[in-house]
Amino acid sequence: MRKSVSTLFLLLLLLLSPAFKAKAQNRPGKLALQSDHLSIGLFYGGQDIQLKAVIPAGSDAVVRVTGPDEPLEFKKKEKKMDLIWMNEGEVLYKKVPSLFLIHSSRNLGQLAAAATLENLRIGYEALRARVISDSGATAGALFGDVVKLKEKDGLFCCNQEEISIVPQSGGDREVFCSFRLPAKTPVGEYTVDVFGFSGGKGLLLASGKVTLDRGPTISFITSMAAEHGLLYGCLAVGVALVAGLFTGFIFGLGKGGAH
Amino acid sequence: MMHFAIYLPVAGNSENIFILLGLGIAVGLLSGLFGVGGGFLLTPLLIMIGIPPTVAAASDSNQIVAASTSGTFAHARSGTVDFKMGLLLLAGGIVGGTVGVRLIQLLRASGDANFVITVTYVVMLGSIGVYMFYDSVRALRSKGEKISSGKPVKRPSIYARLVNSLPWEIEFQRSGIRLSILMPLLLGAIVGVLSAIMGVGGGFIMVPVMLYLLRMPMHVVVGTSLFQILFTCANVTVMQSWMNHTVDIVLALILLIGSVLGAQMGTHIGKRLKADQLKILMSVLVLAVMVKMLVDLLGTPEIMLSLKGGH
Repeated sequence: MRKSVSTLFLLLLLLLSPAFKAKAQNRPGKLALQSDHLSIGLFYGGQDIQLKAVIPAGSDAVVRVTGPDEPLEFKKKEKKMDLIWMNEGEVLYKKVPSLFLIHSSRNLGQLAAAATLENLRIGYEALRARVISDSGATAGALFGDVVKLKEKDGLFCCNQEEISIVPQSGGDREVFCSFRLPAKTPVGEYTVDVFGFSGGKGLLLASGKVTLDRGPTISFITSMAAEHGLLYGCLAVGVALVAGLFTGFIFGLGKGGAH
Repeated sequence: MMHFAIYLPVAGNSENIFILLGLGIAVGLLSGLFGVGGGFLLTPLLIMIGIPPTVAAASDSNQIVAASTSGTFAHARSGTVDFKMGLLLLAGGIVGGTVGVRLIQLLRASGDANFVITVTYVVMLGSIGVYMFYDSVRALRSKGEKISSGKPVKRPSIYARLVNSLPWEIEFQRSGIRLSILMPLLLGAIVGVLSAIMGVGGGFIMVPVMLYLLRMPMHVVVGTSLFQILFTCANVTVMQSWMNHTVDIVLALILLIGSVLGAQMGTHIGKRLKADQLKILMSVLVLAVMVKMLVDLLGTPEIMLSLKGGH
């Protein structure tokens, strides 16, 4: 009796000890982000964020960073008079994520079947199915161009870069990933998901959030531009006039007047 | 993280501060040299580096105010701004601009606005560029020829006779010409219409108009054109900020720091060049922009979509 009470007490001690807590955090299902709140200041140029997570032994990892959906309207280029390419006609996509970053430890096609990836909303094909679902045939045909435009801005990516997997001593694997929020990322809340893939099946293992907002200076300028446009415009012209006159005066010092 | 990045709040993007300064200096140099605002060059360059088109167009109007103020100040000190002519051209331009905006509304309603704007751009740039180049080369070549005595006096052209027959002639001392006030008013209005259609300050149209139709000397043309552009672009900046909220003051500030310096350099370089040399340089620039536009229009685009709100 006394022996079982002391064994129970020891177990309780171990469960509550910090060492065990640390080990618990290294179990699959835990995600550590370098930073979960970013503020846009005057010298903000985008931000790389490091991520650490744990996946089961023998698994591959996919990290997905997504932003809220937004409607996007594009102008479509068409050939006019069979000669010149011009912006004619419009295409509306009702829900395009503001950010869609996929970093995978292997090629997505090697991880799971297309249907599985679509269910988990991983990859451009899965995104395509969702984005064009209520946007018409033209939208479907031009989805590739949407991806190209977004990739150019760094808002979409799907690659096997910036992700590495390190086996742990206990058998589980530690995932290290670096993803970039480009400067063009709109303010808002972004979801970071870590998936583990094994035997053609995938499972969401961990989720986190990153919030991006405007710092005080940027906030002040954008609100001035949006809410006090006339004053802001006059101020902009005033600053330009003063700058022009000041430079003209400085460069004119020491020289003769009009001849 | 981008090195030397500056965040542009209204554009919602960040850029390398030295690239923006460099663009400002380059365009300011053109302002001081040729009397153009530079918008027809700067807006496409800003779009190329990732600034949204509407923000690019609105913000570069703001920097043109600074560059043209700097350039006008420098030219005024040298006595090469014809304020009288500039104010008459501006008055005509305001009326023409209003008509041009209405014309665009009608074209948009009929669905032909884009096509008309694009064709107007290419035709105007091509005609101006070719004519200026041809005229400057011809003038440079004929400079060495001796004028022999006894040559018959040339009969004034139809255009010259028409202009001389107009009423209300006044003296424009700075330009050294005598002309009816109807000419700058009417030509200013035509340029205003074209500027509204093409969405530019009008310098690259106004300079050839002043040179060839008003017969002003090149060095007065540059300063007078800058004076007129100053007011046009100040108006555009305020209207764009008020109506569309698309002026990025951080972008405009960096561009204008570069452009006011560039405008001063351009003014000083321009004084050292002969009028025909200036004309040739300007015509080459205009033709280069026209060729770039033509290539973009005729070549199959890499991406078939662009975000709505484009220029």
